[in-house]
Amino acid sequence: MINKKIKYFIITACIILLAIIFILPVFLTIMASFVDEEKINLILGSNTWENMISPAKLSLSSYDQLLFDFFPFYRLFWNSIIYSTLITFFALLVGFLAGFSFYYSKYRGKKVIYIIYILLMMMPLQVTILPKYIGLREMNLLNTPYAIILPLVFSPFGVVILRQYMSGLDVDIIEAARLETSSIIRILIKVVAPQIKVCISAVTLFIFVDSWSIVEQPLLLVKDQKLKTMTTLFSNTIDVGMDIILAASVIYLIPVLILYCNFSQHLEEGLALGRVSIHD
Amino acid sequence: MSFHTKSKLCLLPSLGGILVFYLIPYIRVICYSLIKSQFKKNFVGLKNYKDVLSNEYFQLALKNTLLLILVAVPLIVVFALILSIILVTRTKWLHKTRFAFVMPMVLPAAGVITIWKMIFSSFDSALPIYTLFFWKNTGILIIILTAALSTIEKEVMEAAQLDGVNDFQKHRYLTIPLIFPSILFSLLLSIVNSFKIFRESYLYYGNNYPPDHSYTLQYYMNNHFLKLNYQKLSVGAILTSFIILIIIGLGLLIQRRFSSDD
Repeated sequence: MINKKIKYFIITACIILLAIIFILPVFLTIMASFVDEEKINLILGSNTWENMISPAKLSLSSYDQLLFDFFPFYRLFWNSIIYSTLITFFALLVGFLAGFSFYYSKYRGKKVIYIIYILLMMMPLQVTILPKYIGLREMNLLNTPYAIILPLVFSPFGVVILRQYMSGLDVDIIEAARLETSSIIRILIKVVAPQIKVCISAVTLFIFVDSWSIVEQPLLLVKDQKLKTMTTLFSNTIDVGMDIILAASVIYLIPVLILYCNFSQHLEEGLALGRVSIHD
Repeated sequence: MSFHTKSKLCLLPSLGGILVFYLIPYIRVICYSLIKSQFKKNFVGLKNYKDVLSNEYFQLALKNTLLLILVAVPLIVVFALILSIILVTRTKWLHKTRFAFVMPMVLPAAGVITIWKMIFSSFDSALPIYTLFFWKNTGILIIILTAALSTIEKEVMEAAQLDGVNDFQKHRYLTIPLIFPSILFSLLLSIVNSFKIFRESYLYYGNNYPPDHSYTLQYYMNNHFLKLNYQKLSVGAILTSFIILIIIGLGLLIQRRFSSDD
């Protein structure tokens, strides 16, 4: 019996330790943004534990430099916000309509189209970036904000997740609503949307985060520095000090952390990933 | 217009975008991969493929991805499975730690990459990339596996316990076979995600040339992107999509085999 208790205790301790390790990168980023440059250079100079845990003076100098000496930051931050908001809004709209269509309408070839969507969703950027580039080039949209926004609006991810979640809906409710009104928009807003709220909030979180973390698109699809996003700060494409980057990292993480804390209960239920399958 | 026609039309905006940004240009990509260059549009057959496949950097990138699939993917699935089983069977308050495991899934890697560089600055191996892979991808697997675990009926487990089965046997002979489809899906998803780790690798090494052990396909692609070398890019994209299609196909085959067994 004692043996069992010890085992229980050890497992619990291990889980808690692992959870701490998983949070650590975020915690350390926040901590490091509040120390002065000297300390950061010390850690970078010789990467030993003594250097890392030795006491350091709290300082806001990183934020001071970022906000008052590094003006491109405002432009980059603003771009990230605008792109992500627009992408999230339109991708949800397009995805909701398409998801409903996959769920409700019946015709030959629907399954094939749906499988293409799933396969596209699985493809990494190495595969899809060139087709996107060619599509944008043909429409003369390279080096405009649309180059970043449009391809992400039509990303198949939202469509697949929303369709997957809708497959649990009862068709009879929609049929009943059709007796009342013939307007598809009213049915979508009044009948379908309220029932998949959980899924919509999970997809919102995912699409926002996805567009918030784009790295290659601003790198390869736009050349103008004015059109780039905050992520370009972190990939050494702009030469700035480590302290400024750390402060920027924290500001960059804040919107996502807020969203995650608000939406995380819906995440697991809303993604319904247990159900994703190509056989469907 | 009937309601059914309207519901079909709902697909149009999305399908239009998919055609314009994915499918139609992909045909162009296939054409590019078969010609000599944009200026001399001679048909050269599979010569570009031969060139890319024998290119040492492409081989290096492929080898690194393959290594990630063979080493990190099985490990991460086992890790996530053990964690999920413990989290599902333990008390509620421990269950809350899932918050920590799932969080990295939605956190942009760019936000923590600097601290990664500071912690791992003295490591000369692919370890930083592997740890990033674990950190980033464990969350989604836990979501999938706990969802599957919670569908197992409690009675089955209790009956097994009454029969005097120990914990290990219980999971080996009951849990794992019962949620096998989800485990397979986790494997598949992790393999696909291992192709996506280039972003983290790119953030980590930036414009500097990465050491051999962390050279990924994305460097190969980005290089040719900047040189506007469409032929090499096209071949790279097509070969990658083939590899992924084969992996997904294999996964489905195994799944079908498994489900026809019972």
